[in-house]
Amino acid sequence: MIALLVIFIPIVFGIILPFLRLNKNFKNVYSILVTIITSCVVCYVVVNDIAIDVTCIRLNEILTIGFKIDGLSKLFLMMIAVLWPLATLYATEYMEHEENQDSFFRYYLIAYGITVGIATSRNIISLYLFYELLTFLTLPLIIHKGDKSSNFAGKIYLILSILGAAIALIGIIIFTSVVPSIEFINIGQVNELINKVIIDGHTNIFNRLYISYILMFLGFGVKAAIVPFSIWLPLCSVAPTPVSALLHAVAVVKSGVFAIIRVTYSLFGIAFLSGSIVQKIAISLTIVTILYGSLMAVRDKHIKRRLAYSTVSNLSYILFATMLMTTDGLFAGLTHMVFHAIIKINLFFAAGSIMIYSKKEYVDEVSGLAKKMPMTMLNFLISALALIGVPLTCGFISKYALITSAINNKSYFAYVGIGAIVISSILTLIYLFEIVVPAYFTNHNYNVDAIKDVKEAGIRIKVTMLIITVLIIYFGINSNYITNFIESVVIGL
Amino acid sequence: MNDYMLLLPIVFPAIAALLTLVIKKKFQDRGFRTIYVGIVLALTLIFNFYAILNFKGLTLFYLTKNLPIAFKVDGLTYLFNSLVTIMWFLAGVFSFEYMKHEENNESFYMFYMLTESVLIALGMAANFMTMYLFYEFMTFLSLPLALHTRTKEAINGGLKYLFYSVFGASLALIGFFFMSQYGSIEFIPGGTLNTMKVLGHENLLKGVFFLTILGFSVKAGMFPFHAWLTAAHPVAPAPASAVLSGIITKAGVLAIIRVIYYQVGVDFLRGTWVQYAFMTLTLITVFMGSMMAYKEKVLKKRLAYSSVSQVSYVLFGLSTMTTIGFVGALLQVVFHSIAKNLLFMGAGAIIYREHKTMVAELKGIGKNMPIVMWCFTIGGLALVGIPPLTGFVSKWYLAEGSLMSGVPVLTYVGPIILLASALLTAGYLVTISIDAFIPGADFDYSTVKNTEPNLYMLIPLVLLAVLCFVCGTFATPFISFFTNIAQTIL
Repeated sequence: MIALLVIFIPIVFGIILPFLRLNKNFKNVYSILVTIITSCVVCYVVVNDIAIDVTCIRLNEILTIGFKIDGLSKLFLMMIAVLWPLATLYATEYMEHEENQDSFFRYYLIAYGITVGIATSRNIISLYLFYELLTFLTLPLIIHKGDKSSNFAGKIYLILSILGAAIALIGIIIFTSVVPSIEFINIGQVNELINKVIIDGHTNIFNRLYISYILMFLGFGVKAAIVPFSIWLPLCSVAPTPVSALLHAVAVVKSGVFAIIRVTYSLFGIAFLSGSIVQKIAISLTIVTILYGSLMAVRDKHIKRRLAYSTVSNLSYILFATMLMTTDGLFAGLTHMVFHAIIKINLFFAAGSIMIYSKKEYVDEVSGLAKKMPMTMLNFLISALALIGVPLTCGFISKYALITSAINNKSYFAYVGIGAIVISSILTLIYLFEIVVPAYFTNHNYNVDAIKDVKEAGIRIKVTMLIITVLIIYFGINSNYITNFIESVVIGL
Repeated sequence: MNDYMLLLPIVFPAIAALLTLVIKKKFQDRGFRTIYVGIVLALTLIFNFYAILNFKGLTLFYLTKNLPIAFKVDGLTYLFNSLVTIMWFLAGVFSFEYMKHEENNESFYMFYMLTESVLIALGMAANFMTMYLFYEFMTFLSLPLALHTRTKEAINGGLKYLFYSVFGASLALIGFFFMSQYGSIEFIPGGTLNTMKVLGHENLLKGVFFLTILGFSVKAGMFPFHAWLTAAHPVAPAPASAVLSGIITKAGVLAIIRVIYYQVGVDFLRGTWVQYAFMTLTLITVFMGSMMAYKEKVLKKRLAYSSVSQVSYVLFGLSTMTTIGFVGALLQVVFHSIAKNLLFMGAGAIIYREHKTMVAELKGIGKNMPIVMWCFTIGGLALVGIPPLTGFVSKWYLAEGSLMSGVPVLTYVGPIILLASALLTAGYLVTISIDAFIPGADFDYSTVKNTEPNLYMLIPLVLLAVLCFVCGTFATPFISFFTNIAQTIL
C-alpha cells in the first residue's frame, strides 16, 4: 500500500493547498515539505528494496490497475525524487515574480504524484491511465500565465497529447487482441507467445503486433517529442520556468520515454522486435529528431525555446540508444535519461534566473551578463559543457555510453546514428556558446545600459543551481554508483 | 606505480592561476603581477623537469569502467613538456612589457597559467581519454587568450577558433570511441588494435581513423580546416599569438602522433588510402600556406599563414610513416616552435614600439630597432632552412623520409613541394629583413630614432635567436633522441 501512499500524498496535499489559504511563506514551506516527505518515502522504498506488488482495481480479467516496482521504476523514481524538491525550492523564489501561486503549486504537487504513478505502474493500462492524467493535470501549468501565446501552446499540447494517447490506445487494443496479458514482465509478453505461434504457423499475427508496436511508439512518442509531434515542446516554453525545467525537461517528456521503454522491453520484448521493420522505422525517426531538434535550436533566438528544442534532440538520443535494443543500448539510454535530466533542468534554471532578474529572453541580449550574474552564468556554463559532452562532466559519461553502444551494434543504422549524435553535439556547442561567449566576453562597444540594473538571483535559486552543478561534476568524475545501479536495472529487464 | 609528484607541475600553475581570483586587489598592481607570474612560470618550468625526469606514471582515477585518467612519462612527453614550459616562460617574460598596452591583464595571465597547466597534463597523458580531456580543456582555456583584445575581429576570430576546434575534437572523439571498442585506449608504442576484433571491419576503421586524424589536424591548421588559424592567431596579443602558433598547434601534432603511432599502429595504415590522402592534404597545405603567406600584407597574418605551412611540414613527416620522416617531423616541431615564437615576438615588439602592422610599413625599421630585426632575420632564415640554422636539418630529414616512404608519385612530389615552399618562405620572410635593413635610396634617414624595446622583450628574443643557432649547429643529440623514440614505435 505504500505505493498508493506515495502517489496520494502529493495529490491530496496538492488538491487541498488552495483551501488552506496559507500566506506566501507558509505556502512555500508547505510545498517544499510535501515534496520532501514524498521523496523521503520514495527513497525509503527504493533504498530498502521494498517489494510492491498490488492490484487495486479489476476492470475485467485483463484490464487491471495496479502497481509494482522493478529496477526501471526505481531508477525513474530516484530521478524525480531528487529533482522534484529542488525544483520546488527553485519555484518558491521564481514564482514570487508571477501571479496565482496557489494554483501553480497545487498542480505542481499533483503532477509529482502522477509521475510516481507512471513509474510504478504494473501494466500498460495503469500506465495509460496515469499518462492521460498527467496530460490533463499539467495543462493548467502550461496556461498559467493565461495570455494568448500560452493558451495557444496549451491547446496544441492538449490536441497532440490526446491524439497520441488515442493512437497508443488503439495500439493497446490491437495488442490485447493478440496477447492475452498486458502485464509488464521481464523479457516481454510477446516472447512467451512467439514459440507457440511459430509452431502453429500463424505468423500473420506478427504483422498485427508490429502495427500495434508502431502505434504505441508513435502515441507515447508524442510526449517524448519525436519528429512529427515535437512542436508542442518548444511552444510550451511559455510556461513558468519551473514547469519548463522540471516537467518539460524531466518528468513529462521522460514519462514518454519511460513508456516507450516499458512497451519495448517489458511488453513486447527485444527478442521479438530487434531486427524487425518497426525497429528500423523507430530508429530512423529518432535520428531525424536528433538532427531536427539541434538544427531548430540553432535557428531559434529565444533562450528557453532553444533549450526546449535541445530537449527534443536529447530525448531522441535516449530513444535512439534504447531502440538499438541491446543491453548496452538500454544502459546508454537510461544513463543519458538521468544525466540529461540534471543537465537540462540546470540549464532551464539558469535561463529562468536570467529571464526573471534581467528580463532578457533572447540570445542576442545577454552581452556582459556574466559580470552581473556570475553565479547564474557559471552554472549555465558548466551545464552547457556537460550537454556538449566535455569530459569531467556527466554528459561525457552518457555520450561515451551512447556511442560505444552504437558502435557495438555494428548495424548501418547505428553508424548513421553516431554521425547524427556527433553533428548534434557540435550544434549543441553552437547554440549554447552563442549565449555563453557574449555573456563572458563582451565586445568593446556593447550597450552597458542594457544590463545596468540587473541583479544576481536570490539565495534559493542559487542554492538549487549549485547543488545540481555539483552533481553534474561529481557524476562526471565518479559515476560508479549510478552506472552500477543502471547496469543492475538493465540486467533485470 | 603511482607517482603523485607528477601532478605537481599540473596542479601548481592551475592553483596559482585560481589564486589570482582570491588576491584580486593585489594582482591588479603591475609590479606584483610581474613578480608573481614570473615566479610561477619559472617554478613550473623547474617542477616540470623535476617531475618528468624523476617519475614514471600515475593512474589518478576512473571516470567509469575502462576510462582511467592516467599520466605517463615517455620520450614524447620530454619533448612536448620541455617545449611548452620553456616557451611559456620566455613568452611570459616577453609579455610583461608587451601587455602594458593591453587591458584586462589579470584575466590574461590567469588563462595563460591555466593553459600551461593543461598543456603539461596533455603531454603526460597516458591514454586517449586523458588526452581528449585535456585537449578539450586546452581549447576552452586558450579561447580567452585568443579573443583577449575584445575587438570585433578578435571575438569573431575566437569564435571561429572555438567552433573549428570543437568540430575537430568531435571528429577525433569518434576515433576514441572506436578505439575503446576495437582495442585499448592506452598509449602503447606500436598501437593497440585488437586484430581479432578488427577482422571484417577494416574499411570502416580506416574511415574512422582518417576522420580522427582530420579531427586533430584542425588544431594543426591543416587544409581544409586552416581558416580559423589565420583568423584567431593574428588578433591575439603577441605573446599569446606566439604560444598559440608555436605550441598549441603542436598539441594537434602530438595528438596525431599518439593516434597514428600509439593507438592505431603504423602497420594498419601504411600503404592504404588513409596514408595517401593524409599525405596529399599535408602537401597541399604546405604549398598553399606558403602561397597565402607570400600574398599577405599584414605581418602577423603572414606569420599565421606561415604557421599553417610549417606545421604541415611536421604532419607531412608523420604521414611518411618512416623512421627518418618521423625524426624530421619531431625536429621540425622543435625548430618551428623556436623560430615561430621568435618571429611572433619580433612582430609583437614592432607593434608595441612602432605601432606598425603592415609589411609595407617596415621599410628601414632595422635602423630603429636593430637587435629586434636581427633576431627576426635569424628566425626567418631558420624557417627557410639555411644551414647552420635550425630549419635545415629538419627539412633534410623530411625530404629523405619522403623519398623512403615508397608512396607512389607523392614520394617525389614531396621534396619538390618542400623546396618550392622553402623558396616562398624566403620570399615572404627574408624580403622583410632586406627592406628593414636596406630601405633603398629614397628612405628618409631623418626619421631614424632608437626604438629598441627594453630587456623584458630583448632577452627572450635574443635567447631564442641563440637557440636557433645552437640547435641547428648541434642537432645530433636531438636526432639521436628522436631516433630512439622512432625505433620504439616503428
